[in-house]
Amino acid sequence: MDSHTIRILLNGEAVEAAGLPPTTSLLTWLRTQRGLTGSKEGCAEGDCGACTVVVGELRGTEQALHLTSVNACIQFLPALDGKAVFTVEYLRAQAGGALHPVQQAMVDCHGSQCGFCTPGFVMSLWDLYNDFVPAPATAPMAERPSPAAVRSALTGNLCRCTGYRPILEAGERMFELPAVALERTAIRQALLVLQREDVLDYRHAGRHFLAPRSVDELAALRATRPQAVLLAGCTDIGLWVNKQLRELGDILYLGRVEALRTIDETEGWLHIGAAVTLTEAFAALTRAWPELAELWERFASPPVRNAGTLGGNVANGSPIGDSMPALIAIGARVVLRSVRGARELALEDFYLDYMNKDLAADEFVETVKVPLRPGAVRAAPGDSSPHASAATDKGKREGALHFRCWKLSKRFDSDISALCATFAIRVRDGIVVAARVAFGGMAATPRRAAQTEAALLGQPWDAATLARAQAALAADYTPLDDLRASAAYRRRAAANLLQRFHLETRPEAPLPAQQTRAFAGVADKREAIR
Amino acid sequence: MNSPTPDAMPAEATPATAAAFRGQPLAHESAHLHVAGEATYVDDLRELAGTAHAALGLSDHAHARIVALDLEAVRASPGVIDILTAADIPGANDCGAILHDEPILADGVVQYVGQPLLAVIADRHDSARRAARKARIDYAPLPAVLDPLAARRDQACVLPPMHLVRGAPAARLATAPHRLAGQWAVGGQEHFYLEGQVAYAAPREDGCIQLWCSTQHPSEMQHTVAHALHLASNQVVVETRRMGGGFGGKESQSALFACVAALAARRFARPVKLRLDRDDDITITGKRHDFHYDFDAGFDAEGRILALRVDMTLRAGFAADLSGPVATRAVCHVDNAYYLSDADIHAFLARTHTQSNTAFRGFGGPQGALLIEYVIDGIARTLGRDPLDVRRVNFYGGPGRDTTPYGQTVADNVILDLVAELEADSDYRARRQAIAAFNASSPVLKKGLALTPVKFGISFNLTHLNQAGALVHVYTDGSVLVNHGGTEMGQGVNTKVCQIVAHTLGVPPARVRATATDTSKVANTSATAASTGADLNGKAAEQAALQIRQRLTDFAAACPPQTSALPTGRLPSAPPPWPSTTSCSRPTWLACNCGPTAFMPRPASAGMPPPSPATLSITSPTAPPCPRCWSIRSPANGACCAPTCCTTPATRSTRRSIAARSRAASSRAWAG
Repeated sequence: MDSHTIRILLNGEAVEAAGLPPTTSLLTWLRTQRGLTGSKEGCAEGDCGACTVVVGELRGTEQALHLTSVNACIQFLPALDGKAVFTVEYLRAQAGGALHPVQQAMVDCHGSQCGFCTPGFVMSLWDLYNDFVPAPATAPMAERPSPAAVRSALTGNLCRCTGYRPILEAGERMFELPAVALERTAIRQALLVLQREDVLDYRHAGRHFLAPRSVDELAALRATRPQAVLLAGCTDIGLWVNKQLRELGDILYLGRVEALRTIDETEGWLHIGAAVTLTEAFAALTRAWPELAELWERFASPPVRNAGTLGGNVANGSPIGDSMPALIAIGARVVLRSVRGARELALEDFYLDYMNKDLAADEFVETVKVPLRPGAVRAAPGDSSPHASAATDKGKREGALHFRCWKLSKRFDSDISALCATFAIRVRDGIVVAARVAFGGMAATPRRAAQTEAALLGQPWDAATLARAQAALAADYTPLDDLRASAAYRRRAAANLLQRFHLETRPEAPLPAQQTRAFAGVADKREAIR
Repeated sequence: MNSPTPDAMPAEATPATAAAFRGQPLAHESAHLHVAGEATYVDDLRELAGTAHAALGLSDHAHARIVALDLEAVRASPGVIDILTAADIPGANDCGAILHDEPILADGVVQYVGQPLLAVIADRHDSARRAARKARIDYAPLPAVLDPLAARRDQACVLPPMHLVRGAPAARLATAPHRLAGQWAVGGQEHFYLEGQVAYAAPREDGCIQLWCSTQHPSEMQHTVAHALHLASNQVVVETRRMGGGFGGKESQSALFACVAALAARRFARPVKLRLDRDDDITITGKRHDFHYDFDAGFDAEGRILALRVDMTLRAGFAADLSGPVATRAVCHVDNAYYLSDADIHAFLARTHTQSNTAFRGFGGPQGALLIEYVIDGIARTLGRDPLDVRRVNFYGGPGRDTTPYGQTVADNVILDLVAELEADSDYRARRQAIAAFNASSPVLKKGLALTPVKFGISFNLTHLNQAGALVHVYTDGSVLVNHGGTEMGQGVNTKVCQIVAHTLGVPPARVRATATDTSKVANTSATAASTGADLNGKAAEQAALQIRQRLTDFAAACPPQTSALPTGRLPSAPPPWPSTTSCSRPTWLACNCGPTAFMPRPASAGMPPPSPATLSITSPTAPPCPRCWSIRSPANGACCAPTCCTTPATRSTRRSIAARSRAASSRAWAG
């Protein structure tokens, strides 16, 4: 069988791609093969956003058109098969040759200086614009995004010249200009033609890029290709290629397995498929655990969250992965799948050592299971997690749950954690009756702080217990010195975060967040866009 | 300007239309291209057939001798065409901006981690990068100095130390009622221009080189490439349409990449592009200088500084680059806005085995000013006074308190009035009180507030660099093309220069286009740096436009009235709007081209900021411009033509009447 050809709806036109390595980035293809040089390479690792494009795909049983911004520099071209790609060059075509309102607003507000980051900003704003400007001939524009939402939508774009203010103004100004709506129906029709029912098998130089459609197909392929790279959002693996110049061999792409892209809620658990994006996963997670809103806002950037997956973050198992401390503290579990069947284990048991996981060669992470709020959770036998109470009455008897998750990084937005702390305790009559504390960035893996938890359990939640817990915390971890933080900083900051947790949750005169956090409410004000 | 639809502008713009653009916040001349992804940067140029791509092989050691270089695996890597090392450089293996201490490709010794020591030329960008990492290099490690203070202990420096003394600082320190001494440090900074370093070279006939380069200094790229290739300057043409940001990082440090691309293009007789991956860019190129300070201040009970000793150690890196002028500027900015009667300021340019640090917005000025601000905050804490009060007693003042440590008189000193206004406008005192109240009641979070002045000397300390040139063409259809020595990196220099030319010629800005900076059009330019780009190049362009205008005026005056191409009765501050082609019946319109016009202000004394426009020396073929607002003056009565001229301490209505008189006078002049 010959290699399949990649079929993409590029700026409204169906085009094909072949004869390129499967790790060719969407950006390289656009710039060198299609002559579309509007999208820029600023960093080639999904940090600067100069390459931002919008990808459209058909989702769900009704095949609805779903548009999101992504970083073209770290998307492998075959992953775009059957999808629509919109680049900055599309906008003037869409507006009949004139500048699109997004572009005109950027001009009006002096939103460009050197202009190199500008196409990326324009595309992030266009993505936001399309969420609020309905299809032609439908109802008038829905309410406009708040300034905070505009700000949030642009956290994946760096500008070194303007200081951002004029760009943020353009994000509001664009809604004041005569609207130009996206022809969603036509795009959906064109995309329907490009859909394939079979497994995509794109080949180049003996290497395969395989995109199965079902979990069984994926398990079967995994069994025969245990060395293949499992690819979901490409937000980390893209860097293996761009920065480490690694040769990946065969690639198994999870993004076409619809069953892995769904979130189910059953029996008090969220079942989040391995290919569910971070954007979608956090929307569900924060409904159950609103304390995670700030982590969501600060987890990478919109284009990275729109491509990257919670399953990928968990399966990659980096010691500084942002989701795991919270998931471990909540008591999340992972379901591992192979042709041999499925097995389930607590997330904390999945991590054995630095980048080493309890995962057989033929296995993959199928689902991340996250318990919903206590009261709806059935306790597993022997589970000491704070949420593990069978019923509301019992939950009340077990005391009040306090849950906090804090990330420390050099930048507020779109940065990697120096450390990430999650605290979950249950306090009844002033006594800590359950405790789960987990940290990222403090050890070779995301890990619970066993001695800290022991120092808290059964003790009054007072200053003396805090001091003992802080001492225990120093014994729990031997953090690294690296470019993100020194070991001493990490130790001190970890102890300080525990103190902040105490200040906010102590039985006597707890302090509101506004008195303990410099950025309290920043994330809350940026309401979720989707 | 450069509007996609220039014809949308009325061909017969009224004087009011032309004047309406003066002082207006026009959109960036490329804004409509930026937002559409149509503004071309070097990597966006459609590649010439046969273009090869270069990638650099970098040192793994901070300081080592290269014992052996095994390039077999590189050569065998897919797509590789050839490899360049230091031995392949026909001319000087040097890209140092001032001193000749910076090899293009390391020869025998590497001096920092990331130093380029070979260039791989391959069919694709990706194949070149992959191949470059396959070099097997045997190093014999040498002692590496990574800490500037350690370098200082070893007296390792890239240039001799600098020392500025005024008064008797040691004696005044000894007798000061209060003393504050200590150490402090400020870190470096990566430029992170969004567009990384890139150069694209194509061989031309007779050994010449055409180079497209993202650089703030095309002339220096031209010179460095010529030296490296052993060519004459007239064989190298460098073109820079725009940069995706520079911030100082492309003032000198674009040279290495320009040289490698040009060397490869010459050697392999094909176009070669060198575009750095971001990681390589950050690893190879220098940053803002990090500084370490040792200071001792003596002051009185009010916080007035009686004497200050500052000893600065800056990390120059492995080579001098621009560290000398950066250190000079730091020394000259330690005073910031404060009078220092007795000062002793040292700077040591530490030679470390790290990237060669370079220009970065402020160019040492921020590092100098930061120190004294830190000292003043310390004095305020020591005395328990509000820092603003301590700042105020130290500000430059009238005679006796108005000379800098380097001897310049601070003229037009507005600091006292300005700060008083800011203090009132910002409600400083009430806000301080509110913050104190908050801090008293907040056990965890604390707030602060500062009001900090900046005095900054624009222009090059090396005064002969304060010059610029421009080339203005007027075509027979009345459209205007401007070329000048400045480079566009987002600051809008083209927008301003176009606006100046439009204003001077009296045409709508949409009729004026700026072209790429090009060493074959305006030669021997200074870097676009030191906050000079718009002022110097703008004045050069204005001069060119004035000359053209004068020639046209003379020509029109000589025309029989019925054939005059110039409309009469219109001369506001600028000449009448440009006539459209159809209104011009004379072929002699062709003869309105003026060669590059140089502009050079009167030299300033060392260390001084440039003279204000009012003191610039310029010879105009027309009546001398208004000495304050630099507008054209009527040749008839010498009145300033600008309706909003800053000269006249007159009311608005007086200004209007001056303008009206001047219009009348000018009309007569134009009508011949």
